[in-house]
Amino acid sequence: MTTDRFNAVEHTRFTDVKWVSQIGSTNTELLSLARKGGHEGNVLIADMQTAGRGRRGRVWTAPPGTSLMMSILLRPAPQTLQLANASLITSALAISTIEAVQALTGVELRVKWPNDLVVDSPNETEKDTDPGYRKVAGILSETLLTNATIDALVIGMGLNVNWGYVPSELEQVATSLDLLANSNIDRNDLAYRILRNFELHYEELSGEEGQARTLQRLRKHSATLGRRVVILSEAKSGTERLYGLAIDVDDSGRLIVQDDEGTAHAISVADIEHLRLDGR
Amino acid sequence: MEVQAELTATVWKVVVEQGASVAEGDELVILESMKMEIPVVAPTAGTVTELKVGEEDRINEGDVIAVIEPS
Repeated sequence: MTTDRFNAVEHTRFTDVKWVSQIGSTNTELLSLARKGGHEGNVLIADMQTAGRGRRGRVWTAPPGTSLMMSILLRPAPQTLQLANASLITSALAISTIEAVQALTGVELRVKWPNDLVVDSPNETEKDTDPGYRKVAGILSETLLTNATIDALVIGMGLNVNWGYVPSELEQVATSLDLLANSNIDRNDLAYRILRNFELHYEELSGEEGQARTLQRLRKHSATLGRRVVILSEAKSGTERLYGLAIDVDDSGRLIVQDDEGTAHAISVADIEHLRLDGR
Repeated sequence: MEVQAELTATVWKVVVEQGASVAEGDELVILESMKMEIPVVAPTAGTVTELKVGEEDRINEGDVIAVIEPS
């Protein structure tokens, strides 16, 4: 038996949950709603996106009904969450998802900085080209500002739920919860649990202690901390590479990387790859 | 009218061209900072007379992104 689609999550701010079979992008739709005055707690879930986007406009696609594509409209109170630590909202959704997936399937996801949810690669595929992890979900936050404060924030997630199999071109890149759990996943139940958890973790961000706890949980669930990484930054002269050890995430969500000379760098915008200890 | 950056960020996408006519609320550029994408929109309708940033530029709070001649 599977859970029915729901229109609200009891005892939460998510009182207006809409489901659509097909849409360009759930984030784009909610950003448009935000510009028209849409209220906090609007949620949009799609079976299929025809113009799904990841960070930096990367295409995000999945066959109909096999992924959970969900966006949430928030209007954080300016006196509690500033732009500088708004990335904690992304972390709160990542933690909420990790906990819901663990409870429903037993699968343990971790956060690859900045906003992917991954599992380790299976051991038998130790090829040089293997990145060391498989992506299961990605999160994209988009923010509307007014006078340097957050007017609205739309946070969207694409979570691979019931792929059935991994297309050969994605074998070394991605996987899906059903394959990790060896069973079909109740997508509606998972969405409900994520939103219920997110209510608690988002509410917690209104206080400094809660923000510190969120950061601690993020560190605990990080797949990146303690890893040797290469930071890839796009510059006009081409891609710049910085090698080092990922040692911390600060309260603005920046990744702290210590380079081989011992200098710490705070990374706010970049792509990273995990490296093996033997440097391959 | 100058459109300034409200935070330190990287310009990941330039949406309009210099000389373009824009309506109030149209996206000019999209910034990326702290795991978020942040559209910078036209505060008024007019013509983009100057576009002072390019893709991948790193900009600071207060930097001028564009100049719009109101219509």
